[in-house]
Amino acid sequence: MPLASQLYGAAMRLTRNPADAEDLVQETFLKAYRAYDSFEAGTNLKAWLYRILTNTFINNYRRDTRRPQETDLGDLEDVYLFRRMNRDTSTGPASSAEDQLLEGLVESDIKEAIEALPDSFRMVVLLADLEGFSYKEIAEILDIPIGTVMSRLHRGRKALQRALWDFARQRGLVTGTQDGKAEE
Amino acid sequence: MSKYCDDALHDVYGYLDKELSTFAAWRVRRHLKACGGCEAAYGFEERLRVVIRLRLKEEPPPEFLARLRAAIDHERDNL
Repeated sequence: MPLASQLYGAAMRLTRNPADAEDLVQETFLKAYRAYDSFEAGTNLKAWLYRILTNTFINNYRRDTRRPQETDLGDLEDVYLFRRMNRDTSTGPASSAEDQLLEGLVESDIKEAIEALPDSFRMVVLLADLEGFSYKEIAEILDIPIGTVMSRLHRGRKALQRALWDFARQRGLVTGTQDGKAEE
Repeated sequence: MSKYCDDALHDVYGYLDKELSTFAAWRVRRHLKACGGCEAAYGFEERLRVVIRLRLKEEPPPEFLARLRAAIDHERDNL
C-alpha cells in the first residue's frame, strides 16, 4: 500500500504523534472507500486522497484554530539559511560549511522544525516539499487561492530555515547568532 | 551582487518548484551562469530540499498497515 505509507508520513507531521497519525490515515482511507463513487476516474487519485486527509485533519485533529495571518511568521530574507551561513560562519570555505550543516542536521531537527510551523503553513510546506504537489494541486487540495499557496509556502519555508539555523547553532554545526537576529 | 541578484534569489522557490514561466526560468538560468554567488545559493537550496525530503520519510509500522487492510476489508464486507 504505497499511498498509505506516503499518507502516514504526512499524517505524522500534521498530528505530531503515531496514534493520531494512524487514526487519521485509516479515517482517510475509509472515507475515500465510501466516497469512491464521487471520485472522477482519470483525475488525480493521490491529490484526492490528500484532500480527504487534510480536510479530516482540519475538522477532527487540528488544535491550532487561529485564522492564519500571512504575516504571522515575520518577513525573513530569501535564501535565509544560505545567507546566515555565509554571513556568520567564519570557519573554512563556504562549501565545507554547507556540507557540515546539511549532513549534521538530523531527522529530529527537521521534523521538529516542520512541526513548529503553524498548521496552515505546515500543510502547504508538506504538500510541496514532502509530496511534490504543484501549486495548482495544493490550491485544489486545500481549497485556497494559488496566491495564498505561494505566499504560505514562501513564508513557511523561510520560517523552517530559521528554525534549522537555530538547531544548527545548538549542535555547533555553525557559529553565529540565535533566532535569526543578525548581529548589528 | 548585481541589481538582478535580489530578483533571482526571490525566484528560487518558483524556479526549483518548476513554477516559473519559461521566460522567467530562462532569465534565472542566464543570471546563474554569470553570478557565482546566486548559483551557490541555488545549489544550496536544492541540496537542502533533498535533505529535508529524505529525513522526513516515515515508514508506518507493518502492524498498522495490516490493521488498515483489515479495516478496509471490513468496510467492503459491510457495504
